[in-house]
Amino acid sequence: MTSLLFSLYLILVAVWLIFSVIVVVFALRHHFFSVTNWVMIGLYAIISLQIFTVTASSLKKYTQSSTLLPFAKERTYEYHLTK
Amino acid sequence: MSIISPSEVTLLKLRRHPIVFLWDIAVLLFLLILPVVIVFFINNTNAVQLPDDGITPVIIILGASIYYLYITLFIFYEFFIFFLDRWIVTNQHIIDIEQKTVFNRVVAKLELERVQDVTAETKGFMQTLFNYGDVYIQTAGERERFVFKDVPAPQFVADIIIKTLDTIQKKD
Repeated sequence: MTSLLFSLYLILVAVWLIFSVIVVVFALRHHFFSVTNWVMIGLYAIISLQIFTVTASSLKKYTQSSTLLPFAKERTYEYHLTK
Repeated sequence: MSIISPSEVTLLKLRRHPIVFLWDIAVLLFLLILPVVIVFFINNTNAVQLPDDGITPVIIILGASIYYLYITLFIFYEFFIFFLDRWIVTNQHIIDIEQKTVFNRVVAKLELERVQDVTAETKGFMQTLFNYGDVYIQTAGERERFVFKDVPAPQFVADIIIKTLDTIQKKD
């Protein structure tokens, strides 16, 4: 089930990537030397990378803990040291 | 090849007012905030009990990731459409560059000499508050009207076009 979900995720990411490349290429095609264009493309790249980073770290957290919604709920840990 | 010839002087480069772009993406901005509100609601109330089956968090994480990727894509797509949709006024021509979608771009060029009438229109609360509106350019050609939609300071734009038109007519 998890591998199926990951496959579906990767397909949707691939489609997203194709559309992103189309949008960026068409934006640069007409205004290649526009600073605003490059700033917006840079911002888009940073936000996209940030989404992937958060996704990866959330999944990593989940695999280390069985808590539900690991990215949403703040957890507190108590350590009891025994003598 | 450039749309503007070297002998032309660019007087105005116009885009729609930024507030119109913000209004266009208001739904997307709302969708951007919506999951945060839902997560906050789930965290602070016991109204929804998520099943502890192990697969639910994976679905939520991957779903949220895809959701945000596509919302961001749509926002940036809207921005580039807004950015490429523009009007240019030179001392000889009016150029209307209309970017409807990625693969639908219309560039229309009109000689200033053919302009018969210029009208600036500001209507409604938002247009009055942020000083933007439409400029209608009446011509004698096949395309009866050129419309500068939601441009900032429409009265100023109309004045510039009329003054340039006067200068051309005096030269002739």
